[in-house]
Amino acid sequence: MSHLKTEYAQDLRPLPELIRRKDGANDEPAEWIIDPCAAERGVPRTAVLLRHMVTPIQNFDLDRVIRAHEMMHAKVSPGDRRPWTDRGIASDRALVCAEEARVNFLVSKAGFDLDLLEDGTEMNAGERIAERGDWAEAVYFTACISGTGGINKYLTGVRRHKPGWGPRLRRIHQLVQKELRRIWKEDRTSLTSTTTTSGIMDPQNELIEGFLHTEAIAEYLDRLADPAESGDDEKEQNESGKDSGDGDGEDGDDGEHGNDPGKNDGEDGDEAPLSKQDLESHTPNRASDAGSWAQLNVKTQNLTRHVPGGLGKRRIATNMGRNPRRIGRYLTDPQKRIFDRKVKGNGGVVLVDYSGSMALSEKDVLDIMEAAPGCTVACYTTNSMDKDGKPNCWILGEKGRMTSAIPASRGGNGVDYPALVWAIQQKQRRNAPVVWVTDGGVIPPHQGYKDTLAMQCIKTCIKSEVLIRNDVEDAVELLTDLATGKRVKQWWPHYFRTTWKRVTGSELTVGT
Amino acid sequence: MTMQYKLPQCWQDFTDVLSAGIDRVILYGPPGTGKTFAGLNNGTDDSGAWRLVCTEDMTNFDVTGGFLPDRDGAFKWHDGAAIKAWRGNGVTGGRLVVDEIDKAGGDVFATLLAMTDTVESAKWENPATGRIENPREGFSVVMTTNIENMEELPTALKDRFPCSIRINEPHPESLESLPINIREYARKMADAGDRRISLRQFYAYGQLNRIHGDERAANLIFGNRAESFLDAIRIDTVNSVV
Repeated sequence: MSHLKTEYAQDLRPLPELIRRKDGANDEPAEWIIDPCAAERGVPRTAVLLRHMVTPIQNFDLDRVIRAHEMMHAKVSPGDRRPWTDRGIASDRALVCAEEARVNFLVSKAGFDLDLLEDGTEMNAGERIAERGDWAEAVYFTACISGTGGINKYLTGVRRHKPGWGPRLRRIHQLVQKELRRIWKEDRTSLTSTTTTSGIMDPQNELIEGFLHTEAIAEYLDRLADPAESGDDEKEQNESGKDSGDGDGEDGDDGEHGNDPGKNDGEDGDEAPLSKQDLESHTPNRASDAGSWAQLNVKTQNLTRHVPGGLGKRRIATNMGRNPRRIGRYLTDPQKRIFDRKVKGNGGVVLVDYSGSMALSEKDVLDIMEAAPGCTVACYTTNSMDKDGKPNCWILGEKGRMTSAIPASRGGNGVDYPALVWAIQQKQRRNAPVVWVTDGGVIPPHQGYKDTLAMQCIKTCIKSEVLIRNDVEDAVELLTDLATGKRVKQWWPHYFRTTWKRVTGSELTVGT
Repeated sequence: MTMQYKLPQCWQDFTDVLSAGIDRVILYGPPGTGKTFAGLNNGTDDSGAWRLVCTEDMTNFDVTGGFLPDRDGAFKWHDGAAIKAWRGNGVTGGRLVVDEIDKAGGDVFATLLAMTDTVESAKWENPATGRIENPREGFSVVMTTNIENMEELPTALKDRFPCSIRINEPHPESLESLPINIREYARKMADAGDRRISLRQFYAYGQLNRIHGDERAANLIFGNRAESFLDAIRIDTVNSVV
């Protein structure tokens, strides 16, 4: 009994108090609350801001690696994930899983044996996920346990129900590890950094540099998890036989029989939704490509001028009324709809990129406003010198009224994505159109064009069916077509098409 | 070599309070953060500082003084720490540092209340000379305690000490004699409640580490917490892994 007490029942609580960070969290000397738990997946956790850790504390090797894992969270993970999910670059699930991959990688770099990190549930998890055909979760979970001792058992579990998924998931695991190794080799300090991007010591609200890598990997996982959304279904089918040849031993002995993307049609239900070529064409963004937008400050101008009409507003025939405008129907229409009534338009939102690269004049903006009666029209621009709180997005027209005072452009973009999200929120109805007049040169303050931020805008445009035009003439034509109920086509600016190609390896198609 | 450091807020508060002329201060918080050292050395100049460590068994001899036999067999008066501090350097009053006043017995506690009263109210008759003594201008008192809740202190005592400052980290100067790689750890562990590692343990660890290496030093100083300590440092210094 005494032997047991000495050997296994020791209280080996970790010492997260010792961990140093640079974002202000865990800086003041204070005690952490350490609650013991079982060494099972999903139970241990760490809350940096609350100084609370739940972790196994006994004298087993597995317990020790789990403690190291939780300690690494205390060292490198953000105090609060909300500012990251608010950015909309990657989903919360992807962020969690990519962070697990980063933390596990760093734990192994600190000298702990990650082969020990498995709790025996991995195979069941693989079977369960594959049985349900949940490809997205299969991708996320692969990242979650990438680099740990449980990955092989997990893939075995997956293959029992979806033999075709195994090679692809193993390759994803290899690519995630490859990316982490690259970052570690190029700039290990950056991978673990908790320095805030703004320099402000606010662990709850500020972004930390190291997690930008996690976000980039998470965004990559999101693309792999949902290949349909990322445009892979439109990819040309003539790339079979192409091998990445990066020497990572891809696919190994997982039973890959060939590279025929035709297998990707899902007919037998066992093939991965992502072909080998598609997988290789996707690349993670660099954390250095991540930037952040300025805060959006919306100001409503004085809307003094009345604009008659409304986008999509029209008259339709009816059998009740006072003025028989459609008298001809008396003979031709069995329902005798000789009157007409007005049907409200859907409204709409027009967002104008008013930065220097667009070179719009006041007259151009007025032309757009006049072509969009009844719509909410706003323009945005900012520059690096603007301080927080200064307006950078102006409502120029709303509810049938418009302003005649167009603000001067301040040269820069700065708030493209926040303005886009705001514009989508202004839709009067679910199917109201949102038109964005921009050249696609979306640039955050103090930085250059970033693929990550451009992807953020592209994904939002795809999801919310935002129509883009890059000059006034096309925008006015589009608005006229919308007003008359004509079918309109989506169009993508060159910047967006280039970014999409660079990031996903596929074309951003122009469609309806 | 002296390092440039930023004074932690608690020590900055103490400096500001003294420089503003507040002469009754309580310093409280975890042990081993240098409260007594600061009381004895900060803002005392040449007027001197005297220390009283209170226990239940101490008597007023330590506070005000008492008669002791001399070599001739006669009894001679010896001043206690409080009276010495009252007199200071003869021109200005000195500093009285009272450690753990809450541990003093009733009799001593009452005397200490009298001795730490304001300069205008404090009076004491010397039994040897019959002379009435008052604290000299500039007399100050710093009281130190490890209790965390100031409400636990008697009201009369709290009334005499309007300013109390919680010292939650060691003074940067006291960290300078530690090896540079463990200074920050020593600072962070100073106020870790039950899991605290004292500055003295870090001094010993630093010394042993130089001769016997990390592992042995940690085992000798931290016992069964050695593994947790070393693992935490491995995690914290993951960047420096070769």
